[in-house]
Amino acid sequence: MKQMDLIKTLNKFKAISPDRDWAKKSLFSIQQCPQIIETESFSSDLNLATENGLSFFQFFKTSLNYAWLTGLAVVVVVGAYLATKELSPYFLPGLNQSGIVAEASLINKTIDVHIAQLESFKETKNQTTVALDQVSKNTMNHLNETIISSEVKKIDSSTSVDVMKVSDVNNQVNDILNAISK
Amino acid sequence: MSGNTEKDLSLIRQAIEGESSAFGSLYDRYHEAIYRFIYLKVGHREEVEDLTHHVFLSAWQHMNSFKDQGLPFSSWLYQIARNKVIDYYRTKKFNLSLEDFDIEDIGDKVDEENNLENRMDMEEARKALLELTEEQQNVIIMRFVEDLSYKEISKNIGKSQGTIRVIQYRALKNLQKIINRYETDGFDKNIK
Repeated sequence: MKQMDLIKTLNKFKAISPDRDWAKKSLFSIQQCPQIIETESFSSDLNLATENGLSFFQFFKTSLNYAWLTGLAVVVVVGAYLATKELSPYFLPGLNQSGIVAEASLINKTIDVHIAQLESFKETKNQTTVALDQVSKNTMNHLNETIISSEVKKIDSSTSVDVMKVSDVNNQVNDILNAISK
Repeated sequence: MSGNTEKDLSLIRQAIEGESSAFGSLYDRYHEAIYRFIYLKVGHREEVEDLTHHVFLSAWQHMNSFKDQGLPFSSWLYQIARNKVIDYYRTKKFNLSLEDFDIEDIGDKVDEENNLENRMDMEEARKALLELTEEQQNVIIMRFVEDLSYKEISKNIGKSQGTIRVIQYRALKNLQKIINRYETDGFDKNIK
């Protein structure tokens, strides 16, 4: 088929036309339907974009959408980061290793002091217990007359011995002085 | 049809405001072209009617989304029609056969003027048309069926007039090759 014949054949398609009754019914039923507000799903169907690219309106609209989405994503990421930093154990400053070591050694020292104090208290307690025990065992000894009298005798005897010694010494001194005066 | 005429713009504004009679005028003006456009791509009368109905229903329901950017109202309708046809082929998994093309539905004028040979030529041409790329199909239909100028086609398709000429040249060459192949191998062998 030659090109001119082909074009003539294509021109014959101009005769294609819809049934008039159908066209009227179709228009009537369309006019009965209410208009609706544009939705995102349909906006792609009504795309006024050229096949090469987006129209300015769509470009603007798309850019605006991307800006919103980007802003939202940034807020989510930053929020998640901050929340993680605040809440996650991985980001707690207390878990810094050198900090932990310093804190642990401080606690160790405190515990050592406390243990030393406890040992001291234990020692004191033991001594007190022993003293009290001894006191409780010898409670009545100081009232025992026999012991008291024996102690008095001991004291008296020792005192009398001392007195005798002193008088002897006095006598000797006197003798010496008399001899000298003579 | 370069851009919209004042009358068209007035009708479009009224239709956006919900004036159904204004949309009726737009419908009367464009429904035949849209019907033919879909017919050459689909070929079943009932389905063509259904798709055409949905194109105008969508246009009416979403008139408020139409923005006058110097493009003709028809380009908006063609865009909706193209998307409807794409959806149709996507969902129906359409297989072309000779019976699918209701050549009897072509107007009385053709019936009177054309004999059986002419009908076969038209069937071959339409079948060959469907083997072209979508872009080539659109250019051929707009140029040789709708008689649009290069300027109008470039606005409808969104490409330069020079590009439209190149697409048309390649489309005609391809059509000739396909039809010659039909004539060599026999048309029936090339029908799935």
